[in-house]
Amino acid sequence: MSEPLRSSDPSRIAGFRLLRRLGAGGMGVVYLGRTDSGALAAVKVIRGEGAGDDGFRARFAREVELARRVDRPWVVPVLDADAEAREPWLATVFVPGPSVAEAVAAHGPLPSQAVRVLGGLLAQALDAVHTAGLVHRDVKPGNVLLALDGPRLIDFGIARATDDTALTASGLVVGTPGFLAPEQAEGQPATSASDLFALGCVLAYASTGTPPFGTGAPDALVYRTVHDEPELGDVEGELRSLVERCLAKDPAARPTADDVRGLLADDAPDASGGWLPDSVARMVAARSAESLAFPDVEPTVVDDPAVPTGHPGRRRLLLAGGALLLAGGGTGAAVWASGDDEKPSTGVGRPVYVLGVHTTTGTAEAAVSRASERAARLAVAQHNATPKRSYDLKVKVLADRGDADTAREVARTFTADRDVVAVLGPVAELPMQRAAAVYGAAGLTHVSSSTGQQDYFLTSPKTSFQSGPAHAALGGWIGLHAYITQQVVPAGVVIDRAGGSAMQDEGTQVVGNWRNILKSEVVPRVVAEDTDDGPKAVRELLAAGVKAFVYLGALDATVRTARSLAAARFTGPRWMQHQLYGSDFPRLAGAAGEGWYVVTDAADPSVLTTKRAKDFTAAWRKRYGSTPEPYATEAYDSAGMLLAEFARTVPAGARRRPVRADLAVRLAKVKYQGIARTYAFGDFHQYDNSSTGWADETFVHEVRGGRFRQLGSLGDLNRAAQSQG
Amino acid sequence: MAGWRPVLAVAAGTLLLAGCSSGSGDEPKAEGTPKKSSGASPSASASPVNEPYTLAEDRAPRTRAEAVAFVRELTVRPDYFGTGYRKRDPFESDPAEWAVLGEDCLWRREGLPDTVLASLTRMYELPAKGGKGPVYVSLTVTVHQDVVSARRDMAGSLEEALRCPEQQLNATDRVRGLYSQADAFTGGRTVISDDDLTERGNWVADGGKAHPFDWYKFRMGPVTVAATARHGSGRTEAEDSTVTTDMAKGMTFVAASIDSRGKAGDASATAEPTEPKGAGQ
Repeated sequence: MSEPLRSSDPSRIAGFRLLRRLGAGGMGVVYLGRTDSGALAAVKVIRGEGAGDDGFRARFAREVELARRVDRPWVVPVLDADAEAREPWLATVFVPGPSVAEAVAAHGPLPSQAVRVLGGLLAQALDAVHTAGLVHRDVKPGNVLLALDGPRLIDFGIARATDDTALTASGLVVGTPGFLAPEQAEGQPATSASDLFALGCVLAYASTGTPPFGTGAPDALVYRTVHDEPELGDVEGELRSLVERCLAKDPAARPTADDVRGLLADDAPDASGGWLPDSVARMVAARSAESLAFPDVEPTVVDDPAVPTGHPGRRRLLLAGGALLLAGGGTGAAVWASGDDEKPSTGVGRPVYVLGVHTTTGTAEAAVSRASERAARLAVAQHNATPKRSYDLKVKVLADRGDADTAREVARTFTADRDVVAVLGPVAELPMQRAAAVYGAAGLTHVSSSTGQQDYFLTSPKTSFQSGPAHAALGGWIGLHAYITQQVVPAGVVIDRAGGSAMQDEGTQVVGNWRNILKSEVVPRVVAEDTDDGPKAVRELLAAGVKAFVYLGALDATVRTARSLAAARFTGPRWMQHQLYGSDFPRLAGAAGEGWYVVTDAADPSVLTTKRAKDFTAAWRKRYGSTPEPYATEAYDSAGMLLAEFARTVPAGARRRPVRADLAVRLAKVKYQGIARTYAFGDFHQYDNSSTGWADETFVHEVRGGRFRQLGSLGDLNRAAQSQG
Repeated sequence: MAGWRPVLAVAAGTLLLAGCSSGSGDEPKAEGTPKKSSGASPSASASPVNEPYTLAEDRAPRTRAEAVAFVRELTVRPDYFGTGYRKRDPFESDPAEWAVLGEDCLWRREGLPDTVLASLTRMYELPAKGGKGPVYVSLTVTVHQDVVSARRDMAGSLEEALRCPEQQLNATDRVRGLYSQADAFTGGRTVISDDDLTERGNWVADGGKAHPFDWYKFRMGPVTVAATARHGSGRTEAEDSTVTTDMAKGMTFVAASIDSRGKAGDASATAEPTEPKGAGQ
């Protein structure tokens, strides 16, 4: 998918270190670059005639300006551009995913539901492009990249070789024959309707595996586009009629992008890739993984253009990839540290403080670890972008292995570093309990946003904080959800001990609330670990005639339960344990998972309408190219809260360092307004749910359309129910 | 080093469940708790701290006779539970019976199921003294036929508290408001045995006032050790907490001796094939 830099290639374009060549064409070269903050970018450099043409430069500058205004998730955002440079260039976010062309070539046509999602989101993208005053002109399968959370439209409008009209001297039309509209083929200017024609071609291609006007010589393709009816194979129903309308010869007869968006109003998929067939989702994931292995090439090495820089070698690659193996102390433990991506442009004499991020390796915590790291980096980058700041911040990430020894080792490393002023984490339960004592002894303040057991307080009553609710509390809120939505019916509750001790915490509350507060019948079952007794418990509860189901267990057991209930045609309300929010459940359970609820404090800010949530979502998308993933919001809030309170502990005068212990004293009394909730801490430094605010800070997600969809907060649902009742 | 485990585990349960707001020290005291290395195993002293008290399945009693001998031979001295405790009369139950919680949430003694080889309950009391009511402690050691059966028994205990938040212990005593916590050793938290279960609630005797009730249960391979404490009147919260901690400490002595018997290899091999009443059932 890329090749090494050549000796003639620059090592750097403005703020981008160039790493690889992604491709080259008549207009120039596209490079893979990395920003100083570590993000990957596609940098397109214009070479040759275009670069010398003033008219081209003016149009390039104008289109870049317009493109910067396009702010839609499914359009790859422009990071930076320079039309004035000797060789004008444009940098966009790099999307590692395969194109629709590659995916279809490798795995055949996409299922119709995936094509609908693709069509709906591409229509959103085109709507944004058109609203910005641009026409893409080259919508084709190769320009639509696939990511787990949706497609990305790349290479729009800008930096094309020729002007808007006609054929080039070489006889090639602007755009790609087979996907360009009849009016373009006939030499008329491309309009937004031309993009819709191309969209129809892309959807037909994705559905059938072949372009609707066939393949072959460009001339023949152009002829068929103008004169023949499209070949749509077995595309059926609503999708077929929509594609046919897009492919109308008369531009005026085609729907607008907004029309198509409305007709394919499937909501955006979640980040799990569930909208894609498994084979394609795996391809996307593999590409993402590959992109992580792109090396950081030191600029000093590549400054000399004579030095070939293509192959840094495996060892180099591992080191440069940001992984650094630290030998642990006497325990033989080892921790992985990722590099400090945030290299703030240190002003003269400005101190640099470090925000530690304490994560955990291993698959169960991979998602929350990644979200925490990204959240911290975003929060720190935002601080470092403040012009009048008196100090800079850096992020340092250390991961334990989920056990006590490495958790303490990480904490000791952080506490030994005097520049570390606060820590986000640990992310996992046992590390939280064990590392807390180390942080407490050293007076280093830390906040865990993803744990729900509170015995950390025993060993660290001063500097350890937990910003998420206890597992038990979330169990109680399942009952509240049932009550609000009038789904209080006799319930079966399974506590599957293989899911960990949180199952017991959560389940006890579910059972107690159901019986004592909701005054309804509840049949509890506790399943022993390592016995495979789960299916039997499910059968017994079904036989007992329960009308609602709460299965609290590990992912695989919950998926299996979903299948059993579906097979038994059970349609009553079903809840899973809160830690499965954001998991692979929707994909693994498939149709059997539809309708399952999860009640959690984790918000999906991309569907919230507050300015805070929108700003955060936009900032996240800009930096990471996707909506904030599950648990990112709470991690970002926690990092933001730590940094905001830390700022108040920094002495005004220079030379004096802030006192570590001051932060914990402030935090214990904090009232911090986050994205979707207000943070305050209780007597055990736990998330304080004694006030009434938590109803608006607890969210119900439902598995629908193969993903978790946020239905709203408990407060939202309650108000909706009241207004209906 | 092994000594800190029970204290911290018990302190954790007590503190959080009682809602006490003061933190405990970082390094719990080791005094008065059994040393993990006190067993006959030469390797015990070198074993890592984070190893639960356990009994390997192949070291456990395999027949009813062996199991009965095993539970009878375990020494459970009254002062395991604190100074001043003594045996009650009657002291021991029939090892061919155990207590079963019925659908009606009433405890009854029934014959052992096929999955249980022996179960012996011993009863102790701390007599009333100085304005403080008596404390009744019972300790039950149950040998299950295998580890899976013992796991199911632990799950069953958790289920009982959910199924019957109010339980009738006998003709006069009721417990209510039971709240369970369970930590399997594999969960990695501070635990004593393979699986630690703690339940707390209140008990009421015939129209009297409610007092604290504790029910702790450990699993060591195929063997479970359970203890209850019915606190008497007249204790402060801190004093009740001490009663609980002392009871758990006593259980830990029992757990330690089961663990060391397994390590020494005498759990089944040297058990005298005595034939007490009901053992052949």
